[in-house]
Amino acid sequence: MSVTVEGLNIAIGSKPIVADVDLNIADGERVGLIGSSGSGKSMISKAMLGLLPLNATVSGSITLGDAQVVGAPERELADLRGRYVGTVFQNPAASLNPVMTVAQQMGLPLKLHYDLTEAERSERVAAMLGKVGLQEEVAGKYPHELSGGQQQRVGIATALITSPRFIIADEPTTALDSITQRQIVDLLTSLVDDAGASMLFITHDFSVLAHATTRCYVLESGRIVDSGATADVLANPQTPESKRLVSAARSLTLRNTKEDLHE
Amino acid sequence: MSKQRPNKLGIIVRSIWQRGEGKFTLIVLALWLAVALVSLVWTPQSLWTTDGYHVWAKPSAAHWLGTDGTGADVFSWLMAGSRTNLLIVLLTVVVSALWGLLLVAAMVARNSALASTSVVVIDALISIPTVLIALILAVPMGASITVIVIACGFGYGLNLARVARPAALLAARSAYVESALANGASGWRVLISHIIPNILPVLAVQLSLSAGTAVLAESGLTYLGIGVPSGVPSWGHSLATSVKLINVFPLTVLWPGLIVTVVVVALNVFGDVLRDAIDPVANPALRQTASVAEKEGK
Amino acid sequence: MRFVIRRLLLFVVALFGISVVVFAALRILPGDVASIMAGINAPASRVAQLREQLGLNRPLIAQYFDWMGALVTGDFGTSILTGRSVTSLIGARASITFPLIILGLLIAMAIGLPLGCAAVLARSPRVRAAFHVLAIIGGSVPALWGGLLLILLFGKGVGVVGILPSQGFPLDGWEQPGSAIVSLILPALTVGIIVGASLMRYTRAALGDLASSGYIDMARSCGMTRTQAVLNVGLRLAMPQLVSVIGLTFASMITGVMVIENLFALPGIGNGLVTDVGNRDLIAVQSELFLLAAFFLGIGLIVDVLHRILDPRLKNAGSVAEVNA
Repeated sequence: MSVTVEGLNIAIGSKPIVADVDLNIADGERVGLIGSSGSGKSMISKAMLGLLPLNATVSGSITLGDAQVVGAPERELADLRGRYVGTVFQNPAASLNPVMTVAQQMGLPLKLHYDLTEAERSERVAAMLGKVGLQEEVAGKYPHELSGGQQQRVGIATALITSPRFIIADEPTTALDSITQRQIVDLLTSLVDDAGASMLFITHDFSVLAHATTRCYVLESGRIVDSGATADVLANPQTPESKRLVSAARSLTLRNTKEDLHE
Repeated sequence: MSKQRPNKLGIIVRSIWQRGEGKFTLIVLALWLAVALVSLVWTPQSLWTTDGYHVWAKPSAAHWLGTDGTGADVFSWLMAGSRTNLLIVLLTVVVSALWGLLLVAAMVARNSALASTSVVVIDALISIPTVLIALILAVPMGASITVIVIACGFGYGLNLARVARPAALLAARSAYVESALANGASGWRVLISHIIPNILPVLAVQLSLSAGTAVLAESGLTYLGIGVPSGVPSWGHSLATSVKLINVFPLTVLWPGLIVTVVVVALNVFGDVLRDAIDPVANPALRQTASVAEKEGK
Repeated sequence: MRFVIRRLLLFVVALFGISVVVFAALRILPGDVASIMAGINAPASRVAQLREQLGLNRPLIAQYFDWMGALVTGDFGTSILTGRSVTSLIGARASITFPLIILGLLIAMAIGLPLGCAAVLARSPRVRAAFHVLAIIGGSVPALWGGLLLILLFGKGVGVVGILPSQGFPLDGWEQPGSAIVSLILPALTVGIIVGASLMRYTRAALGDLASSGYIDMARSCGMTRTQAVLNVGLRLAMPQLVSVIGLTFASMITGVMVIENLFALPGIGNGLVTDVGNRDLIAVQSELFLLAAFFLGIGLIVDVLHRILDPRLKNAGSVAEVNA
């Protein structure tokens, strides 16, 4: 599914968060959106899903496939979500429903969008568990009985179970340790590529970005300040803001790698 | 240079005034204060002028809201009642603030036995309703303002302590308190200069809520005969009297209850607007003062 | 487990403390209990007889232990005024108070839960503001006044639509359930509206916090609308909190309805206690105060322990709902 964002402005209350953002993702492409915390990148993903808080005002246009998101009624957006658009959230411990078993959670998009029997659903759930590398008995467990990495695998499985055409991954690795991070990124990219879906990958971490995406946008204070092939932006940032971000990220990444070695 | 220094209190009042609900609450509270003060020197009729020929009278030019069972002027009693309620509210707020802060101090104390015991004791005592405490007190003391103030102050102080505990604990275990203690500051000094400023927003909201609840408690307790003693004007007294008026002139019932409701709404809202106004994060005007003050300091 | 033992120990200590406070409150009265109870004009022989009957000649410590010993065996003493045992008095009063507060709580839930949900679900800022105002005003109305307004609207004899009785309870109690229930409607409605406003605020706060949480975003990202997510996921997750608030509210209503019982002339627990205080029926007052305090301490204990057992993370949640006096 191709995605086009044009002239997007978002304000929370009277405070502008995102200004004049243009962004496009071709069918089957994995695109990154990187910026420091508070730069407004999560708000862009929420706007794409129609999940902005009630006091937010949005203008501009967001087109997913041939559906216009801005101004669309909630019912139409709900029909898109979980069917054509899958979402992987930052912190699975704070998003997976704590009173639902893994099977119930993963079955939820199926239940909401497709008319399947109980047996058909559990068959799909079992198959999807296998794809994300989880044992079948995980299906009966509750989120708090799983490790952080396992929880995020459940999150990915839930996002992908309906074979959506577009995946939004909002900092899917931030809550994980660095070894699990790499596994999760590899899992996510391979599943998205196998399905032929497109993906918007949001992160503040350049090393994760390099792994997950081919092209990226750099967001700073709600504006796009740089864009291009991920490798180019990393090697040769064009604007002062992205230079600063990249050099800050480099020093951080180096320190992280050292810490990893010590572990 | 000092004439340039912006007045912090002025800024707080101004930023409350800028909001619609802030205007409402400031006007109501100012009016209350004004009426209470005026009633000390003047009421339309003397409180003690009773008129046996005009008991339960309907409103007239002489008696704007009619008269009660002794022929006394209802409007004058309502005016005079506002000062009793003001007194009760102020005393209750002071008592619950002091008692609550004492409990907060105990709960964040370095002595872990004291801290954990006080937490459990508060949890146990908080379940006893204010009315019951008032009744226990009223048995030996009879109806009096003291009963209301002690019962409410005791109960609301427990509530305040419980609500303020997380913020207070965070402040008490922070690095700057550690360093202050390391530099020889006493526990009380730390409480006053570090912990209280950190729980100020919670205090603002809780004490305003307590003030509102105290007005409600006064009306209930006085009606039950264990609050303000008979012969002392208060809104609860007027409300209780109006119960008997109901068959004569039903609309007279509206006024005392309406006054109580409006004042309690104003007090409840006051806590919220005050919290926003004194919070440097939420109030940009205050932030500017702080930065100006900082520059002046340099 | 250590917590439960400590909390139990404290419960016992608090009970002892309350018993001493209540006992002392009655003994530091100016004059002695017997002459107060006998009344101003009673002959000295009557006072002496009463003093003997109540054991007031014995030392204070002995009197305290007499009282405590009797309490432990379930003997709460005898009301001097009516000659009935305190146990039967409380039983008769409870048969009015409990139906009243159950009815009141049902009305409160019917009002508070839907309005609280609606306040969270509303999208328009105007509607949200209106709900906010409604919740604040609902929590600021004095119970007495709320009752008076309802009497003015519906009370037989005075009301605009005078269809409901507003004074008293049938003398034969629940012999005729119909008229008993009818006499509880207006008072229950008064309690229900006031407690409903407080339930509405709790529901709105609990659901509102959840509505902006990741759980709701997750449910919506699976394909639920905001309304579906709040009502299915939000309500389910807010359930433990709401249940404990409703439980605590129910307990606090026992004394919270005192003013309303008095206004509607219902001889319930709270109203009876006030009457006994007014009548200086001190032995009855002493036992009633102690029993009520013990009841509330017990509720507090149960709620605390349940919270610990159900969720160790819930240390500071859910303070007692204040039903305004």
